Amino acid sequence: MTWDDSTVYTLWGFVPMTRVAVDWVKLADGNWNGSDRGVSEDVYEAAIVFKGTEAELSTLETELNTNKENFNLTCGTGEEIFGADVDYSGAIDVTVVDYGTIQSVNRGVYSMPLKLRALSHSNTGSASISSLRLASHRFEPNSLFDLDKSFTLDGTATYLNGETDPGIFHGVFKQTQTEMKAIRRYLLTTARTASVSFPSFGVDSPFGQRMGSGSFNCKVISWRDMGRKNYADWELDITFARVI
Amino acid sequence: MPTINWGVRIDLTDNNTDTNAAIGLYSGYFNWITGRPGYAGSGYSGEAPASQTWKQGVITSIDKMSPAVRIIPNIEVSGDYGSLSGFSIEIDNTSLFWNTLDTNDYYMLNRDIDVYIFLDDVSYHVWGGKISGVEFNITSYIINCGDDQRTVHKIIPQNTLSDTNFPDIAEKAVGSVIPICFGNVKYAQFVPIYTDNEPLVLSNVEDAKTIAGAESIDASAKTLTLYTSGVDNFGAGELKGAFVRAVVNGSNQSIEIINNDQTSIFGDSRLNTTKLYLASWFDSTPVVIGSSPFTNTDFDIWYFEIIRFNATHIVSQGSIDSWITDDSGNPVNLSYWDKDDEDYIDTSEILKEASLTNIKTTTHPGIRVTSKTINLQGDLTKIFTTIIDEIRYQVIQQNNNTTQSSTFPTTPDDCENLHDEDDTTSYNTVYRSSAGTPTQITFAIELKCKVPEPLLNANYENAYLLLDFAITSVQATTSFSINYSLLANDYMQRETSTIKQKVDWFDDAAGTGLDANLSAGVEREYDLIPRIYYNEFGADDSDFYDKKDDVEPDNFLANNKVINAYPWLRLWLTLISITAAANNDITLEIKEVALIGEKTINVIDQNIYTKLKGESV
Repeated sequence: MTWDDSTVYTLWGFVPMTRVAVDWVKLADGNWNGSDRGVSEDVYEAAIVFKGTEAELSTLETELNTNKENFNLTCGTGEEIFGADVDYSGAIDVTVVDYGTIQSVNRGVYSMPLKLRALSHSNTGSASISSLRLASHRFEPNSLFDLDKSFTLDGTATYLNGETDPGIFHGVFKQTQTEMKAIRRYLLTTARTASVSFPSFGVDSPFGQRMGSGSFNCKVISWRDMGRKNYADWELDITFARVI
Repeated sequence: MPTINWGVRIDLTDNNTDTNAAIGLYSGYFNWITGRPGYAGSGYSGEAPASQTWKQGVITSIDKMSPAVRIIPNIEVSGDYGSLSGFSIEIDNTSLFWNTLDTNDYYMLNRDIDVYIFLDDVSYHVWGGKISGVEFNITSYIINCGDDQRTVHKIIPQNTLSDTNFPDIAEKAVGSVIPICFGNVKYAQFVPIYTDNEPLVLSNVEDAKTIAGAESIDASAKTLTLYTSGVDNFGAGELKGAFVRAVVNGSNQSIEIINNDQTSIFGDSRLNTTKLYLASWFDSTPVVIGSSPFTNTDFDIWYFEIIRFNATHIVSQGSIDSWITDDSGNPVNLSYWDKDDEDYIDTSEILKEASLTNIKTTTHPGIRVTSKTINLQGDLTKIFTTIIDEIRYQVIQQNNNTTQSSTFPTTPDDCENLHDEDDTTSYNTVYRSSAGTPTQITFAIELKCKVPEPLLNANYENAYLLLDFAITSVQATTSFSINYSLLANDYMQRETSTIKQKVDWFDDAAGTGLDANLSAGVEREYDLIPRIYYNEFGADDSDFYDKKDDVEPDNFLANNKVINAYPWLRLWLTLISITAAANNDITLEIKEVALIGEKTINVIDQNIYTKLKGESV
């Protein structure tokens, strides 16, 4: 990673922190609606950690002091710190939004965490969610119970049924670099607040056995890029809400 | 398990009658509903306007809809409205609802809003008011609502109890408000407005003194004869219910006076004595002065005083619901505003009903309580006047072949003056003997209760018939005896058995009734307060008074209890053994008829309560 067109530092690890400019509200009929402020207000941040010698980290600290505002950052192959769908062919104008402290990792090795924000960037890739692949058998296909239960002091129970019973699916997916690029594009452009077809990834009853199998419409009410797990794989946490 | 949804309806029709289904606007009404009931012009019933489409997916989470609150706390400040109810709702603003309102000039503030709850497709109106304010953010449009204060029906009476209106009010009660109930409160609280614990003057030879020594005592008979020097006359029975206690020497012990003889007057008024009959006796033997020539010089002579504990309480005349009514007399809930009702502004009715003057002087159709005595045990005796719906009257002749003259009132209005606590108004009838001499004339007075309330019920320890009437033999002297009996038409219950026969409740055995020797043209007046009881054995166990001054009975002796006599009582006034000339008019003037119930409760360390509407006797 080239810092301010000059110094090269070794990136030890990173996690993209992309925030979509959508605010969600749950409706009383069990559905969700989102308010979209537009792609220009999406936030691309990254939590990164540098590792090096004491001298190298001191140099970094000096450069941070010199570049208190924004500066150019050039990322190498495998350093897609703002997510797989960002164009890293050129330098990216960034600023540090959170400064960490230099820490001694072991003898002679030091680290420093930082949070960066991309002030301008461009994206790359074509939107597609067809390659979703569950990372493990641990996922949550659920239909919630919309019931109200109250009890008097003497134990008399009252049950009221709102009859909405919304469906929620939450899972973690493992994707390649290329797949991740397409999926992020899909989430950041096609999905956002829209009602989309529930993708197929091998789960028959994604909203619980009560709602059965079949085709469903849904909205992606939250997702989190979990970053690279290794050189080949990325992981992604997604929550789908069924559109009723 | 019942399904539940909440519906909100906002009226914009004074500004527009638009329809915009995307935001749930139909002909100028916003109709929004939670859940997914799918009401599209049908599918529900109840209080919500029919045939409406209710838009789903507008209201956000139910958790954000605050409950409609109706709180009327214990109103201690007169003139206050109590707490108002509030309500808020949050709806989806992600599609720029606020902008739609602005673009189309849909104004929300001060709009009528109604909230309905739909339980299993049946709707109920749970709240109504106006929009008091709105706020919104990127996701939600929040509508705040509140009661409209201008449509509160009536002002709570602004009357407090003062020592100006009630000079003898207990000090701690000054400033209290007249107790009022809201809703169907089972009991309402008393406030004491009259207390009198002053000792009586027992001697006034030179100056007024409130202590007196005893002339004599009789421990077995429990009598105490006091020197009431200079006091001309304590009437017989006048001191009933008062208490006598030794204030010089003797033990600190108050004993109730259950009767007294009229003061014995002597030439030397210093020797005037009054004999008291006590409920119990002193723990130690009182030391008396003795009779003249007063040889007893014992310095341990007891000196006594007599105190009458009096208390009068004012009690709620009814619930506030009885004042908050529409034109039909239907109670109106404070928190619900019927926008079609124009009646709420008139405060004259409630002020009239709630004014101190009316409460003190009128017989309110609820409860009027006057307590006469409270003893050391804390027993408070109360008298309740009756609620008689109709009084009918008829002359029935017996053993007589003369023409009768009678008038039978057919409407309750004719008998109002028999139950108005006014002896100057009356109901008159005349019996004329055209030929021969009647041996018996019976006047029947029928007292009908408000069905299904019984005229008498088991809650009372004693019941009395108040009967004020006058008889005049117009042309000739007449002598006869008066008997009176009271019977219930259907049946009268006692605690252990049901009697389904005509029963004489109080029967003056033949020949021992009130005798009347009437000179021609001279009116004889009777003011009777006979106690009503069940005469099981037919013997004369009457305990009634022939009082000329309408003193209310205060010798309350627990006796048989009369239970649930209804639906009417018939009073028979029978003149028997008449010796009179022919062509003689006998005029009966009935001035007042009432049934009085009486019960005793213990009030020590307790609040005194009475039922909401009073108890019918």
